[in-house]
Amino acid sequence: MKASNKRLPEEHTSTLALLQLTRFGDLIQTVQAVQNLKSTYPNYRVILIARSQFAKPLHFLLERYFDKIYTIDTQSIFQDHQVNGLSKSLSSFNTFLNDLNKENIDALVNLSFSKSSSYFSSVINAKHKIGPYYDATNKVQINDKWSQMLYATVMRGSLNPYSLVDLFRNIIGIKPSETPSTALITAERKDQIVIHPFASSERKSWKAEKWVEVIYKALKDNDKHQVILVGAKDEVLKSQIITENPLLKTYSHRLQNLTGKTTIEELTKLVASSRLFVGHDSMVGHLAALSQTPTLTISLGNVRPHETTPYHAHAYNIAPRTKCFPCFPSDECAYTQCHHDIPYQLVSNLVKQILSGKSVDNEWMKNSNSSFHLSSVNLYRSRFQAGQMTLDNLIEGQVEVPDIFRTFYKITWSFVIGDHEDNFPFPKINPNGHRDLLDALTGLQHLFELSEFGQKYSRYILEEISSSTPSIAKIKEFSKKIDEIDHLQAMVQKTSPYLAPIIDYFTVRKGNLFGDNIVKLTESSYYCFEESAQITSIMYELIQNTIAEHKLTTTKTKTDLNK
Amino acid sequence: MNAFKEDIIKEFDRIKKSLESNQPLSVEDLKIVLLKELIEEDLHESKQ
Repeated sequence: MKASNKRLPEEHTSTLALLQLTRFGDLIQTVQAVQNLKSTYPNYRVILIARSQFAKPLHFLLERYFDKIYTIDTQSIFQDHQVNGLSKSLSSFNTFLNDLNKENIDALVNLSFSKSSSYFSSVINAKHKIGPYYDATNKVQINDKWSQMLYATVMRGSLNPYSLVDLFRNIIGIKPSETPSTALITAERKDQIVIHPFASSERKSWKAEKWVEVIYKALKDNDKHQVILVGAKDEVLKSQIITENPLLKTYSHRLQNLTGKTTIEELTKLVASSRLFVGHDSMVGHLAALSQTPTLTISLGNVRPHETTPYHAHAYNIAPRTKCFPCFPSDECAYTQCHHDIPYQLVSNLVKQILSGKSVDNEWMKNSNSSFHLSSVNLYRSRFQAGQMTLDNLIEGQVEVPDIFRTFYKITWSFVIGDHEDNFPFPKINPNGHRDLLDALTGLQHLFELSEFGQKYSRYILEEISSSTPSIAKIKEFSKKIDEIDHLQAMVQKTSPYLAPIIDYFTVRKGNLFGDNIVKLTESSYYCFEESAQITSIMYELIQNTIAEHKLTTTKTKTDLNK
Repeated sequence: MNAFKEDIIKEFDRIKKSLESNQPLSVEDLKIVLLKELIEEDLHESKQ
């Protein structure tokens, strides 16, 4: 988005349009991102473009934070498409689009990151476009750095350290504030636990038997509490498999099955009046976050806890330490090992402890749970720092290497793209972690050298162009060198997979250089390599300092032991 | 017979030829690609 030095006239209202075509959970997280937008920028008119199947059931929530909501009804657009062909659908779509294009949109922000949303963004008229859109050559264009980072990192691996809510805020340009998020919905709480034991895919949810065990223990250990099962209409049969299990017969008077019986608005109020929500990664957890109802999320399959943990200060997320977790939806998986690695006993103990109001900390974890159970999981708790959510691993001595790198990436991206300093304590590392960090140092050295080469050859091109007799052959030769750098960076990614976010980010950056002539493009390329050098330097220093701190701590421990 | 599918195949052939001859896509072309993506997403959603 271009910055303007002009002050807008008092009566001018800028129109900001958010394009969010994905599902319920993403829409709720979008609401959380813009929660304070209108109070901070009262001269903004904020409109939302969403799919009607997801936006209409959430209308009670969306209307509070958006001046207008445009919903695209694909069922209506594609009605009888097999008979009527493309022209009728196109005509129907054009009616919708013409209405939308009457808005004088100053900035369109695409928060969906799907192919359809990128094409959609291309056909909406707006003075500025943020996030991905397709240009006339059918190439994806992403002009802003936060969207480039999301496109590169979120879609490719699990090293993104940001909650999607914070990423959305960064993309829109809403500065993080120190004031913690307030509940959007408040209600008096009853002694009830809401459980949603389902998810959008089988690999993201446990089978019924494990849920039966959790519900049984929850009812047994918490004799004043009711358990309420919730879900959509198409989950009714699955819910009955749970509620009709003979193990739950003794407690059936405190077990209520509301699956398929509530609207989303009713479900929101139900969760708001409950003491705890337990479930997988799904919309219901995000609804709970709206009222700051404590949540315990069981992450499985392709779920990325750091991105999708419900956005509030009372969130717990239990994730397996399975090697292949988190996977991609396209990965083959016959055994779902990650499902078995989260013991239901641990989940039941957590439910009891959270409901008691007592602290869930490392001491409680070690004293009240089997070390065998703890060894196969990570347990995260949410915390807000500098206005953004972070997840702390509550199991001491079990810091995973990906968690360490996520911390480094958070510090680096926040400084380089967000222009603010984030501080975290030195992560503790074990011998395996130490080895991985040393490997990464070598990879970073290579990347730094390649960045320096990239700057050098970009400068050579600019110098050649500005010479009295520029040689096309020389310019081509220098350009070829820059292409070789791209190829060598890809090789570093193979040997240092933890550096993938940096390399992927720069691949996207270089694919979106600014300029309509060779001089501007080369200047843009130079700045790109300069930023790459900065990022690799910061990461190098963070890793080096962590290793130094680890050596200091290890030496001190050995000295203390020898006394 | 799926008239929509047949129309899409025809239009995509035309769009592909435009791109191969370095001709820019029009807004109407982008809308056609968008509709194809939307209907595929709807189909995927209905299978879940």
